[in-house]
Amino acid sequence: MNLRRISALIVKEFRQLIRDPLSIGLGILLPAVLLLICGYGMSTDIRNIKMVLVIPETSEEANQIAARFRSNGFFHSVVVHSTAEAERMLHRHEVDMCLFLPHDFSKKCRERNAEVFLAVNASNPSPALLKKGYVQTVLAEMAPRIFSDLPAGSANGIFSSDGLIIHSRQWFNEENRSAFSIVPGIIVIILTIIGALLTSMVMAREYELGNLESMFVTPMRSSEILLAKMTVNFGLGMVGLGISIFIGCFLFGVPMRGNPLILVGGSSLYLIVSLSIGLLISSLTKNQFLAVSCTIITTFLPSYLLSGFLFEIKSMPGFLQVLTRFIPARYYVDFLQTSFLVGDVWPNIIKNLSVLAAFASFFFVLAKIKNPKRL
Amino acid sequence: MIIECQNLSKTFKQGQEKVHALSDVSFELEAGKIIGLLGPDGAGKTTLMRHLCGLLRPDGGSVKVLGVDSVLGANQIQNQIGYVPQKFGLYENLSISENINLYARLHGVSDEELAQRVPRLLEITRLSRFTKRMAGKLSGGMKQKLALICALVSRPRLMLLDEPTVGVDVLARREMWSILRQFVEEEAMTIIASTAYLDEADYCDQTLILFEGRLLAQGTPDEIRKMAERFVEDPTFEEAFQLLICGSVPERLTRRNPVREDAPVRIEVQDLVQRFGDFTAVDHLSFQIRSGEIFGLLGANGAGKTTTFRMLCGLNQATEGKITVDGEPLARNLERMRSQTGYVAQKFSLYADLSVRQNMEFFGGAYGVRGKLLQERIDWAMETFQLKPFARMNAEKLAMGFKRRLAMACALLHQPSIVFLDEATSGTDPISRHEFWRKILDLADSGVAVIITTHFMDEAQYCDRILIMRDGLSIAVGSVDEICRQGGNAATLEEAFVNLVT
Amino acid sequence: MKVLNRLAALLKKELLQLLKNPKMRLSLFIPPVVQLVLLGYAATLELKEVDCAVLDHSRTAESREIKSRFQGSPTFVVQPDLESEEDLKFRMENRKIQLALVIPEEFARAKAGHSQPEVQVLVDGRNANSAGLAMTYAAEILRDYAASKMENAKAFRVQTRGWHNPNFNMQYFMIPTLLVLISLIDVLMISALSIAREREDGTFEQLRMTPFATWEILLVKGCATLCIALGPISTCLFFIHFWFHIPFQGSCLLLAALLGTFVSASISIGLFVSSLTRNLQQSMLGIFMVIVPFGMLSGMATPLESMPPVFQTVMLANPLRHGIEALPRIFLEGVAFSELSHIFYFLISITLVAFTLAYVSFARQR
Repeated sequence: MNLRRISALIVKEFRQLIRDPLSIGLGILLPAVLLLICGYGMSTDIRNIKMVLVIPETSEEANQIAARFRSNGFFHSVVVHSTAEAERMLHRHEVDMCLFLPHDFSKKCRERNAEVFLAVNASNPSPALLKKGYVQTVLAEMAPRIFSDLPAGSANGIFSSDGLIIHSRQWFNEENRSAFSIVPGIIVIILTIIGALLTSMVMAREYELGNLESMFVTPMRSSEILLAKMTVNFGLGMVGLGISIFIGCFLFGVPMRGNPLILVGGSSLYLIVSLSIGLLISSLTKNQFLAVSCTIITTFLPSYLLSGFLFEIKSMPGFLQVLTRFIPARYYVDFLQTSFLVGDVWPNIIKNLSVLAAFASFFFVLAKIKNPKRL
Repeated sequence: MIIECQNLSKTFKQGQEKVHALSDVSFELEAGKIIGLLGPDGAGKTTLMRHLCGLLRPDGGSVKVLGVDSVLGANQIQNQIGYVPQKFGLYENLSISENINLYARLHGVSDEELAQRVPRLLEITRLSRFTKRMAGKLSGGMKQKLALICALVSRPRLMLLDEPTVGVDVLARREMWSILRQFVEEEAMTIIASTAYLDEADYCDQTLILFEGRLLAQGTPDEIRKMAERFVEDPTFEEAFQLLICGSVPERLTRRNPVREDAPVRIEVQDLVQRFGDFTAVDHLSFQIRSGEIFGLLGANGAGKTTTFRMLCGLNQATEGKITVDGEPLARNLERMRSQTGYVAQKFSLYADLSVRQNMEFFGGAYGVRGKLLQERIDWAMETFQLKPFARMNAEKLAMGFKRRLAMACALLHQPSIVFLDEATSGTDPISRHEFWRKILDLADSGVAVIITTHFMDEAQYCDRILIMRDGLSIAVGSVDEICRQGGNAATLEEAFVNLVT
Repeated sequence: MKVLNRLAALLKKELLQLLKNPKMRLSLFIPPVVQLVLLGYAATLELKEVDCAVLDHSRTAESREIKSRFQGSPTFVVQPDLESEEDLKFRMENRKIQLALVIPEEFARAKAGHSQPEVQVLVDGRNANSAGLAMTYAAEILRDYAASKMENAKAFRVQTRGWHNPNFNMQYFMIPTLLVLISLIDVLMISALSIAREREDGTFEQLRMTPFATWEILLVKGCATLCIALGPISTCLFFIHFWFHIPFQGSCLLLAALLGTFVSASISIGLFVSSLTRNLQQSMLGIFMVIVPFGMLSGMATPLESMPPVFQTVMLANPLRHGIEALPRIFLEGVAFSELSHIFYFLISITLVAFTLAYVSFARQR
């Protein structure tokens, strides 16, 4: 290791970086744009559930139900009398769901044997399930009032003594804000893009342009070349991280309950992993297009889809769950979510960071072996 | 002995086949000399260079550079040598001084030495004025000099230059060789340079001639020339080289139908101007090209040749001035004009992953040649350019000379009446170039207007008329003889060119 | 006629270039199919095997019954009981459990009629999406339990039917959706590659020297990409039908028409992006800048109607959004063309606008 040589190379990398507007854009613009788009745009909150109520026969009870849905902010409901009409609306996507009250609803209510039918358009099942849950909650809340033969509104508590009160609380994200879980996910994607994608592309380009050929015929060691390349992109990644944290915390109010130093430290570790993967891929492919497609398949898509940020790992089939264990992003997602939302949970930190450290050293050593100063 | 090479062999795998890039090459070289590495395309020059730098591992035999084995002591060798690869290895978005500083630091040159040495290097190469300019914005000649500085800055004992003069004009080439000579004398450096320009052999103390991976001959340029004396009187180096490789000396080419005075004017250019911002690349250029004429556009790198060329082809729009083809303005008849034009670009620009035949079928089809006619034309091209054995081979696998032939063939399939050749022979060996010019002369004899740019003065000899440009201006127009007269009654075209341009 | 012949020559060249190289062929076909199959399993928003545990302060038959109901549910895996609040906190923080049920001491007494019985459901909110779902599932189990315990029913029986997808099977939605996502990525890469490679190899100049007009070059490149994309897309369709057994109710013709329009729109966007860039590196990055927001805001991961109105409007320019709206409808609902006409209208507009922009930006470069 010769500091003078490395610093010369780092200065060069840095100059090239600041003269390439695209890389700067990737470091600064991409995090900002992605976070803003996803933080504001991606939300699982369901509002404006479009519903049609089929009331074949007007009755006191049916009106109560209709009024209840009308006054509920989550629903946008209309009332029709014919089943056919409602089914037509459901077919044409004018409404998301259809609640049918039977003909003898009022009578059945008095007999305490009322049954209602709910038809949900389930071609997109995940929001459909949530919407279904909302309707069931509303109905469950309504039932005691209707059955207790008391006029609506006079009951003090919502439930009669036979009901069950469910206090539900969401820990770590009390208001169920989508942004809280999206921001850590986006940070993972950004660090993956800057670390692996940009690095593999820049390095493959140097192979293609022949710059590395003359670099190899200098006293530089191959580890020094790798180190210098990593340093600058590491810096860029850190800038991206900083911007993401800033936007996440100040704009979306994501709490930072863990120690910021640990968070940054863990992020550096993940950045080193993806930088090493980028370097490894570029020295294996030596071709920009192949490098990009390899990086997308081996790094970007898994970090997006198999890391547990969008899709729950436990819901995947067994072989995929095994596969996710070999994806560094999985450990980083776990670490980041905990660090932001929970705090310093030491067993979690130690487990994830030691796995990441193992990945980092493995890939760096592999990159160094695969990148001897030979063509 | 600075280099000892023993029974060096290297094979590359290309798909199923094995290519013997070097087989059983042995030689020894003394220090303090300029050594020229000569050979046609695909002879193994670059592979040999890379072995000398320790970038490749030999399959057989061994290389000792500066007394060190190139496999075991690759780092030790790399600490002491300077290397300029074919693509120069400069960083395009770093300035001249940043590139120099980078390579100096990488080689561990101390700051004091840097301060002392760099101004002198810049002085010699006359780059002092441009130190802040980005390497990507330099002309070919300047890039070459910058690459040279980057390699020289660490006072290497051995310099390796891989085809440093490809695409560089006569002046810059002369300059480079004199700089190299200076360093050999002052610093007792040893220089090995590969080149496809045989006239440059005379700048070398020693030459190595490679052919198909084997070392054909080693000796001083005079010794090589002597080998040919039995066959030709007072042979040039080029003739000796061809004799060594093909076993015969080619005849000199002549025109059968010289262009007639009353031949119709095909292209007329009047007051052509091209500006890029404040910079005037082409400044009020006017000339005419007749049917059956070979018109040469010469000039140093950056004189505005390529810009003019691109405007003639309609790839760039002129800022001012008029280009007419057969009496009609170019801009309005671009597509019609293109359908009767053939174009061979400076860089190889055919589809590398298509076979020879597929390339021909495409370019024929693109110009609207089809059916039986297309088959006939392809047969003709295969025959004329001797491409038949390679018909099914992918274009990228062809040797440089054959790539050039293919490019030419593709440009001629539709029987164009105007042909543009932009440094179409650059990077090819003398044998291919000779073949090439035979075809060009045949074309002109049949009435095609040919416009060429080139850095080879021996090629320019074949032109009916030559226009020499400097800084966007036309400084001389006329036949070869007229140019020689205008260039201070010079004996050769090269002398005249140098006199006019400097 | 002559023009058509020339265009045919160009098309043949484009196809040869993309298909001749076996490595290239593989990289066009294999990744889309592998992605579809892998992601078809991975990309599920369904919840399975949610680890949960009970902190049972009451220790009665009733609380044990609640626990056994959770055990009986396919969604939950009941872990050993929690011992204390600290244990709960520890296990939740370390992701040993995702959901916890706290049953208070007076639960059974309350149930017997003295006061209102209460339970507390705590869920790990680190992943907001699955937290919401887990909560819904848990509430359903609890409500069922409560209803079964009432002496005279004080709740409605709700009979739910999922139209077009009775079991709320997530794959039925995800897999057609993945098909459009994967085709988008594939097509953008191919169209960018076909232009960037010509630029880097210098063949673009040579091509422009031929009598082809710029729009002809772009059009043929687009058509070639379309032809190539048909390969992986139909392979994917094959897998969708015979491997994943996704029901298909719609008309094949409509599906083909929709995929064709969708791919054309994506190609035009790919051509436009690469018209703005100068080399392969830039166009790859450009495509990334497009794919990521398009993918995130397409309605795949989060419902469209939850997006702010501005985003909903802007995303009308996102072909993926339209593809994702239309494809599950064709597959599962078997809609007729008339109901998707607006989608065709948007996709065709995107195609025309993006192609025009690409043309203008290329024409300006000469």
